[in-house]
Amino acid sequence: MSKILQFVLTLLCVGIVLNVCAMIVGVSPSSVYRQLYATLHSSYGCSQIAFKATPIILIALGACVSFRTGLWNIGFEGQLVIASLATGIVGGYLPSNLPGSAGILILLLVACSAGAAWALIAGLLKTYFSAPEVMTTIMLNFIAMAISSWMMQHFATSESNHTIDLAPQFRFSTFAPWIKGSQLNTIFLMAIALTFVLHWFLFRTKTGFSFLAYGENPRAATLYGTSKTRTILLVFLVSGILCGIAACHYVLGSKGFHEDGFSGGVGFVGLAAALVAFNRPLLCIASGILFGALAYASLAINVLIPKEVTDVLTAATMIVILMLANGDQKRS
Amino acid sequence: MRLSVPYVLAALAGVVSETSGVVNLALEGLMLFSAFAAAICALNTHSALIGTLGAMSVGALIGLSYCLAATRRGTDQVLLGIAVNIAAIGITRFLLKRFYDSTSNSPYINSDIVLMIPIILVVGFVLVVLAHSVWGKRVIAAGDHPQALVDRNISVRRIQLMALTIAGGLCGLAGAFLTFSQHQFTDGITAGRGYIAVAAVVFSGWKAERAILTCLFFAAAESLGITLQGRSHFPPQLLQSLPYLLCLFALIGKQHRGRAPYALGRT
Amino acid sequence: MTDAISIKNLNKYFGEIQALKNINLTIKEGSLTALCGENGAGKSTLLSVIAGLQSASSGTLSVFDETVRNGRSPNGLGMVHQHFSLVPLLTVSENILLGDEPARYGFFSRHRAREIVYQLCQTAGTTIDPDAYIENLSLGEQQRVELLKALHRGKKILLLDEPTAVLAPHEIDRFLTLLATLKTRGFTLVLVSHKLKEIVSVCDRAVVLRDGEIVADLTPSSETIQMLATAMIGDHHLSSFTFQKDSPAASETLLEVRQLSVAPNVFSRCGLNNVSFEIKSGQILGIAGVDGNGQQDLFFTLTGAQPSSQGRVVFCQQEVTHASSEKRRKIGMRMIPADRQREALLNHFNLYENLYLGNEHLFSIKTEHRSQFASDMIKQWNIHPRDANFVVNAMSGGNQQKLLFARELHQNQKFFIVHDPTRGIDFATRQRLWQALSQLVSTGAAILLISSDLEELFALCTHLAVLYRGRLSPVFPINQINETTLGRLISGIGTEA
Repeated sequence: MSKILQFVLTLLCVGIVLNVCAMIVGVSPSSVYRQLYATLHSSYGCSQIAFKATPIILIALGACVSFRTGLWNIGFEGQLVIASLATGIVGGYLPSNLPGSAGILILLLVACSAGAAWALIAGLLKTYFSAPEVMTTIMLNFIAMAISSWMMQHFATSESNHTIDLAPQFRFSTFAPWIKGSQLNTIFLMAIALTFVLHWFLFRTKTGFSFLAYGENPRAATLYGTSKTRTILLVFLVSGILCGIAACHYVLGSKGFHEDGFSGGVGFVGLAAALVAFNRPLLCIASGILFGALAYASLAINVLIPKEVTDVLTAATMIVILMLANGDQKRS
Repeated sequence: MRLSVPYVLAALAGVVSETSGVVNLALEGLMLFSAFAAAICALNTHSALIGTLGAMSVGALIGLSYCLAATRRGTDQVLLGIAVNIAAIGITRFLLKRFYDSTSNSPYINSDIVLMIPIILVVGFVLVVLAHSVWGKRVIAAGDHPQALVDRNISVRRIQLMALTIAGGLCGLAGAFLTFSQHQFTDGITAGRGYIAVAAVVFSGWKAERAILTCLFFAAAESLGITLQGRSHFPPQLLQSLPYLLCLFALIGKQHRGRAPYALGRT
Repeated sequence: MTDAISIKNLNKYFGEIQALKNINLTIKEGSLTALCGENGAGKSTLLSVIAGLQSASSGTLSVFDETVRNGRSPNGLGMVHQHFSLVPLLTVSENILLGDEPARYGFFSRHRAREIVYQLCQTAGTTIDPDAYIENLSLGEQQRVELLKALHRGKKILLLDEPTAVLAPHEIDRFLTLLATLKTRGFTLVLVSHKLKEIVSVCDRAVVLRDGEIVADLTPSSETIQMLATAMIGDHHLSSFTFQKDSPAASETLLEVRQLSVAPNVFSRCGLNNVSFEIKSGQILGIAGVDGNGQQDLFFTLTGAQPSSQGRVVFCQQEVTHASSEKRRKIGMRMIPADRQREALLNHFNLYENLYLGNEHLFSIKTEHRSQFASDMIKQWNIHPRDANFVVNAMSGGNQQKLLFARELHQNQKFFIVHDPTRGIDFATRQRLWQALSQLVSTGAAILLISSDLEELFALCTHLAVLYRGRLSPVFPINQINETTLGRLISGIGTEA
């Protein structure tokens, strides 16, 4: 079944599920679609979609790399949380007379290191103990959330339940001047750039090739010169870094702080997005936008259907694509 | 003791599924779906018994569908299981909002049903059936060396479908227990127990009795966490994560624990 | 005695290749016949035709005077394969009775199962613990369970494919006694084996196959054993395709292996036992022997994919005993394994990508140069299809192998380990590949050629040794080995094993 057909069928199924949900709520599907169209039609709407899509794209990229190498890294949620936590805390304590660019750089570094460190835990466990990464990453997700809620007790300000707000110079300015009211920020551009970087990395460098080879036939890859340890650790490193950047999208971008539960399951949405993109970095932009649209759309139709419908749609997409794809995901 | 029920039931479900050769990471989702089903049924019929039966049926049905999807050629069972879990979170939240207009809890359920005894009986029964009945032996064959069954014209697929349906029913029971013991359905009421159950299955070398023992350990960890929360100065959130930490360590040390059914994941 | 199996004018073609030529064979009931021969001689093919697993292209096969129609499995005939169809997590009785279980209210009746198994043991004249788990049994015991399985289904004729290949030395005698007992109880047995010593001890008849034809049909005994050995290998070594073998003055020692041992494992039941040899530049050392005597262990240990339990390997004056494959490749080793699809190729990737594997330096050159390189390789090796975007899975075996050769040989490295490089490959490609191999050494490289094909070994090698049950024979220069010795070494005559 061609990939285009699979994609179209998936969209169809999404539509069907949306209809079903609408009917459950007792709302007519056509009113839902009308509302959707209205909101998506504005430039504000589009920029919000891109805004929502940004972290999804980043995580999907990480998932693409992991899955193509044959590693089941499900831990994006946890890596994101830890990175965001670290950044939020450090950011709150940065001296206010530090120039903006220095601060931003420091925080980016902190985010990426934190995400990478958390991801590498699973990587190291896999390398030295053959601990199955599916399970370790899932456990680390839960542990990360626990750490976050614990840390919040100490670091949250008294008036709110989040960390100290970042000083304005450390935050990314939004695109609001150009698109009214938009929360879109520079990280979106970084995400697009990284897509191309990762595509180039995966398909045009020898290390990227060794990842692909390892995913296709680990025995052949190791016999012909790929180091298993290096491959596994690098993949988790990349995943962690990408989650770090995604964390910056929240902490340095729209929110300016870290709070519990900010991510709303985006780690898993990113996973689904990677699958819909057939694990191709370039397609991640499109699928990220698709899921971003789903997320934003559910907010837009919140008056009609509870916004939780987005989780349903994400899962439906994932299931449909898994059933149609027949293991296509690993092939180039 | 009480805490261990969901873990034990889910782990048993996991053992049954994976022994028959199907990777089943969807325990979490199965429990969640069933827990919600239990809540709805009980609230609408004012009978916890119907709630339990409803939960088990939902679980069995989803288990069956999961198996149908998972045993198609080329379907990635790992990701499918995770997809089911995500679906569960989403769908239950959605329906929760729709029916009870809340994002986190359902109304109070007056359920004073004593489930412990039937549960113990069920667990015992399943253990015995898996180990000693003719069907149980065929399940083991299906996961370990299906070719032996194929040679004798016995349908491996049918065995797997049965196994997964039973597993679904077990998770259904677990879900009902969760809902009724807390007297309401909460968003995410399963709290990762399904995943821990999977880890227990792996850690115990896919042997049912050992898996149950492992679950008792995890339950003990959870109860330790709860007790210590009140007593000591340890941060409560970290204590809550004790089961997950323990699970992590279990996954590290699982090397000599025995092996997976040879044909696990291969259809 | 009636004829148990009667074969008349049997021919079998695999495409253009004729695997069996005009076989006429009658096997009497209650006899123990051995089919002997080298790899590729046709003995396994004949066995599978008799078993009904494959159909003959022409000729007739009758079992107990009942003509067997093509592709059907004859009644009363059971086959014991090299790879057992047993469920490790179940017990002996559960395995034997699977599908047919004695039950009480749906529960397995262990009591009755035990009885049934005891009965079977009586019939076969052997013993086994019905309640033992298969995974705890030795391979010899597992084999007995397979036999009992066949008996339970009422089979009167048993076909066994290389049955002693999986057995430890001390189990072999027990097994052979079992065969003799079965024979006296009236069962008809046909085995495929290359181990003449064992054949001599129990079989009434040895039928030697070579190139698909029956070349000898004797009563095995200590007098005739040499004739059998010679018949097996024939005059393959007098191949007309010998390549120039002017060994340049042997200079540096490229590979030195000292007392290499590998424990028996999943891949090979016998592992390696104190293997020692040296290869100098300009030499091609051939390792002969029928499959399953440790060849895979040798390959994977020397290439770094599998650890050894003991011994030293020195490659180009560097100690590599525990080095990774990556390191060995860096020093200059190149390898071509026997099972391409599992060990060497990226099956769902295309030709370009498969060329890159192991050749990472290709990434640093420009794209145009890379495609140029790929098309050069395709042209040079005559790889079909010509489009480098073709997925490797869709290529024929011969072309896949040419691709592997192209990939591994183009850098003119110093040392090559090659395992069964031309197995199952058409004639023209074989010649091409052989030529490539022999040309390599003229520049001072060396090759370790592990092969079960004697023609190949004699065509290419400067030196020869034989692997039997994990032990390596002394190394002979190729012109000093004769048929007698070779036959003895390959079939294990004269070894204690």
